[in-house]
Amino acid sequence: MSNRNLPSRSALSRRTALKAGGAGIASILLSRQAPAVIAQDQVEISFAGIRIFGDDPMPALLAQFEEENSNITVRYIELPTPNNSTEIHQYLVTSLNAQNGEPDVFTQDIIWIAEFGAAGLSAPLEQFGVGETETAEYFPGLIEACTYQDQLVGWPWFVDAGFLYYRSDLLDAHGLDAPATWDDLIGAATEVMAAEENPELLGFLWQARQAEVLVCDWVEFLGSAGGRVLTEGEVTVNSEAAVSALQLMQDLIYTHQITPEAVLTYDEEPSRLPFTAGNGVFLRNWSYVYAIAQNPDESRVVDQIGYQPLPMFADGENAATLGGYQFGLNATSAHPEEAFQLLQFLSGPEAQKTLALQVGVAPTRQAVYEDAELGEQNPFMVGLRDVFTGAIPRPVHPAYPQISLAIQSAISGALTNQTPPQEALDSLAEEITFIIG
Amino acid sequence: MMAHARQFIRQYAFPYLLLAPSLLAIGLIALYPFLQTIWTSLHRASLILPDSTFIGLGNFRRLIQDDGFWNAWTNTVYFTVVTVLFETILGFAIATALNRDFRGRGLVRAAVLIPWAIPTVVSSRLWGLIFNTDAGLANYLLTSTRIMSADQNWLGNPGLAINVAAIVDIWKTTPFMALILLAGLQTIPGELYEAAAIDGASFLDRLLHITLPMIAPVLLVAMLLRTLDAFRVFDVIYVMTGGGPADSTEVLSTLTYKVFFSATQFGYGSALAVAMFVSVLLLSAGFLFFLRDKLEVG
Repeated sequence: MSNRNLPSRSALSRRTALKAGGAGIASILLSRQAPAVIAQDQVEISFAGIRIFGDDPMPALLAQFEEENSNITVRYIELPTPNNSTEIHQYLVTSLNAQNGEPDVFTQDIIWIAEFGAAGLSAPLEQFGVGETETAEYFPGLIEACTYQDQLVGWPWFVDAGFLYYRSDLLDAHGLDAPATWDDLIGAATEVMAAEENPELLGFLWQARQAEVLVCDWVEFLGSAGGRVLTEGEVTVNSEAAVSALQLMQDLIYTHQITPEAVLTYDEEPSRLPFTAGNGVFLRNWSYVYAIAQNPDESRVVDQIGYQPLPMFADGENAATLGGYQFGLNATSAHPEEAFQLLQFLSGPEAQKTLALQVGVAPTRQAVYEDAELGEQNPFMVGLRDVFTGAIPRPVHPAYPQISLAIQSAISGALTNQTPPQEALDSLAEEITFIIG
Repeated sequence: MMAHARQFIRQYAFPYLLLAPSLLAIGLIALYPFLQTIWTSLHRASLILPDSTFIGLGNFRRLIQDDGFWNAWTNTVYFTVVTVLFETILGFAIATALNRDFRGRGLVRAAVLIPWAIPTVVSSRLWGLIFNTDAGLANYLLTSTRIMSADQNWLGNPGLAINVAAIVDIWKTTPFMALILLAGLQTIPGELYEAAAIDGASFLDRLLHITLPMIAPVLLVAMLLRTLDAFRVFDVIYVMTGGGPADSTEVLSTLTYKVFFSATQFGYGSALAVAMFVSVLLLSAGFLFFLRDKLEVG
């Protein structure tokens, strides 16, 4: 594939052009689909869902839904895996903006919900009669993330959050406790690195590639100092807490030297590899790492790892960045009732349990965590419940993608020693004020 | 009278009729999106705004003051100059070597093309691994031969990353340059060199007074194509660094992509695309001006 023509091709993606193009595509699709719409109110709806790592569990779930609702057929549009989030975003922007009702139901990264809600691309769900009784079943943070201007424009699917993995064997061998504060972590990492005869051993791995994951890590460091990017709509990204958080990130690399400079090129997988190869003491990452770390084919640290919330500043709090994919219902769906039925089914307790057991994605329904079978088969996930409950959303704002690009650039500038923390954050605050102003 | 009219149509209208399908295709494929981009660039338009508003040159005023844009512009120019320069020198050297007679020449000529044939996304991934700090081949070779004393953080160092991306582009595109220049070299009549040999011209004399003037038109066209291509570089950067660290590898294409598709600022993104187009246009105009001269003399 050649991406070199993108800027000129991009002109085609404008709203009006899309509408025209969308109408054309719609008529082609309609003529092709005509036989599928048979008598007795048989309807076909489309579902654009991300590919989950491992054996794709969705076709079986969709088949079950079709069996239970014999008047509905679901066409499955398989999207890439979540690490291709830029491409998924582009797909959703393009197809939802075509406003031809396709896909009826889609999965969206938690950070786009406000954007699509503000753009009027996703339908408010209150019209289908859901209210507080239904939302109370889920983690409150997820409901918050699915709400834009007091309307539910998304519906929870699965949750993820950042937390700390550590080598329990190494900490035990040196009589160390799992760290509660950043100082504890720095002390423990320094001690283990000095005592172990492994020149490859890295103290603390996280992600600082100029990409979305850098924002996730930043929100956690910031939150652990008690800071936020936005507080009640005000820009607080250059608060005192924020400066000390950014200073800490810098110090981990250059002063304490427990984080390698290579972290500046790491996203999730490059940071995970040294850890599961036995060359990392601490790792900040998402829940997917656990299954890999416990798989003898891929890991040298089976049964030698522990996990807990990320450390905090002495006067701060534990912080985790909220992640995961949630559902949305296309505002121009031709069959909103049926689409809502599908959304309810996929978010239902049974489907969430199935996904948790089969592919290890974490439920957003609190009750599922009390399921005995899940507790027995996946105690790890049940143990994360508290992390998920307290996880902080990234700034909930329709212009979030723009805010994110600004944060990536500023934090990367500070971590590569191009700008001092205070200066980087001051100009970042200015930029975010311009974006949301 | 009728005969005249028919004659007229056949002579003047018929050619245009034949051309009409191509013109229509060009209009739809090239002209429409192009005009649409310009039109959009004059609006405040984004996914989250219900309607787009005409703001005249507002986006361009913002662009002039946008440090991010000028950073990307400077990076792009730097990348273009470095890659085209090295691709030309190396391409010329390889073309000269391949122009000689030796056993297995056909095989070598084909083999030289391999980097050009590998999809850029794939080769960028491979080079990303080679320049990996902890496990990469580059650090291993350079430290084990003691050329470097410690591992370099190739893609994480703002001073190095863009050069690494340039190396990958040079590696990939030199074969293209070599092949075009080889074609140019083969059009030079052998008698010229024979005459030069009789006159006792040195290697340098032959290079400066025969080879270079003879392939100048081909050389300039090849450099023009490469400049246009390098200026629009996207895949190498997007795959290897995504624009980081600290925006040090952000080029116009990646910035435009981020603004347009990730931040869904359709108006400002289009303005960036237009600015890029104007830059490329000026570059090619400069080249063509230079080229016209050479072509007429040659």
